[in-house]
Amino acid sequence: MESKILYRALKLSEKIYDESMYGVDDLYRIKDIVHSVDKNHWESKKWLADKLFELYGYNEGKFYVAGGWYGMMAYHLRQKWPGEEMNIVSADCDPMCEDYAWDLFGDADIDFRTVDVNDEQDFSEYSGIINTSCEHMEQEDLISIIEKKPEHTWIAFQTNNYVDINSHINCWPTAQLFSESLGLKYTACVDTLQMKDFNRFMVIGK
Amino acid sequence: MNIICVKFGPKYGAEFVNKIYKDLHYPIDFYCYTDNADGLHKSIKIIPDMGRPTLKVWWNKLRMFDKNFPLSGKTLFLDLDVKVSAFPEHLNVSWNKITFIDCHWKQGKLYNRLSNYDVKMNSSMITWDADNPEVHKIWDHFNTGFKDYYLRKYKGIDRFIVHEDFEYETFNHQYIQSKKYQEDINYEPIITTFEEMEVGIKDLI
Repeated sequence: MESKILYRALKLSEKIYDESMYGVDDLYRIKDIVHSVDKNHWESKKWLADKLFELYGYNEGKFYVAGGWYGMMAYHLRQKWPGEEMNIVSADCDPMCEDYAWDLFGDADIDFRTVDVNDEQDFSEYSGIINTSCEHMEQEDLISIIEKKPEHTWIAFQTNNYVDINSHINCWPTAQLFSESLGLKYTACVDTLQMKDFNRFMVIGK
Repeated sequence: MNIICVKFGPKYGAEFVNKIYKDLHYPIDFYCYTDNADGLHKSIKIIPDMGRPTLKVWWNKLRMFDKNFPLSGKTLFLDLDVKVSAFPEHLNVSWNKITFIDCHWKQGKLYNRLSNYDVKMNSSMITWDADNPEVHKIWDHFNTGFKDYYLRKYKGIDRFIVHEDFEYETFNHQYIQSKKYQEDINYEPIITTFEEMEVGIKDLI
């Protein structure tokens, strides 16, 4: 974890606390942001960026990160593709994610947006669609993304088997079953990252 | 008056719903909103899982406040882990507002803190008018871009309703007994709640 990211997370926590004293009282955001930059998320998102970089093979393109939360996934992609010829969009349906992502990763040349994945109808301009929040999303929405994307657009999806969390509505027992559920025409990577309390699964393909 | 239970997931079987239905001893419109109607008494009216958004276990209780939920008029909800002692025929409640249990036994500084998280109400029994648009706002407020955040932030619907500042009323204390906090009482409650306790069907007999 980079110290500048941790420092920004601390300053953001201070900002949210200050806001709670005089305006919107939402201290849980501090916990949520701390969670978003913890070791598990750092490692699992870096894992995806590293593997996609191996497979993608180009410097240019346009990536769409669905369910981008506070921007960590997009940041890791930017570390692998530092040039401006790679355009990176990070979208989340929670409007506060866009605000706080600018605070955390505002200098990383990432286009943070508030978009519900169901409202994003046109994926034709993207060369890669990344989603590390599949456990939070309806399976039919994942399939819809795959059906709407151009044939050669890469898909890099992660889910997990952590069923004890109320917001995890789309967990899978194995990476292989998750891969089969997506029905990709071409699968380049099906892998598992063992975390302390659960396994994270990744599928990359087209 | 409609009476409804919500049964999702494997924790509580059909016998918990059937027991509440039978304990009421009354010709009533009894509904069960469920993802699995197997084993439910044939007189119980089934409201099948309404689908998206997919919710887990107790979060499905919020769906009852969807304006498209197929109920109309005065409605009483009972959790599956309550013991029914009397038929709630003459509830003295304001049907203009949604009404929950007042956990008046929860005392202490915790509940006065700015950052207080636990709440002094619970939703083991709820009454509302299913046609009341103010109640529909609860579902509408939940079902936004913040939905996933709420699911992370709040352990259940009680905290969601209190901390998202919805107005509600509470039942007369003598309608309720909390098994954990009010072991000895000198009144006849409508229901006994078992919050914070593991409950088997034998505990409810």
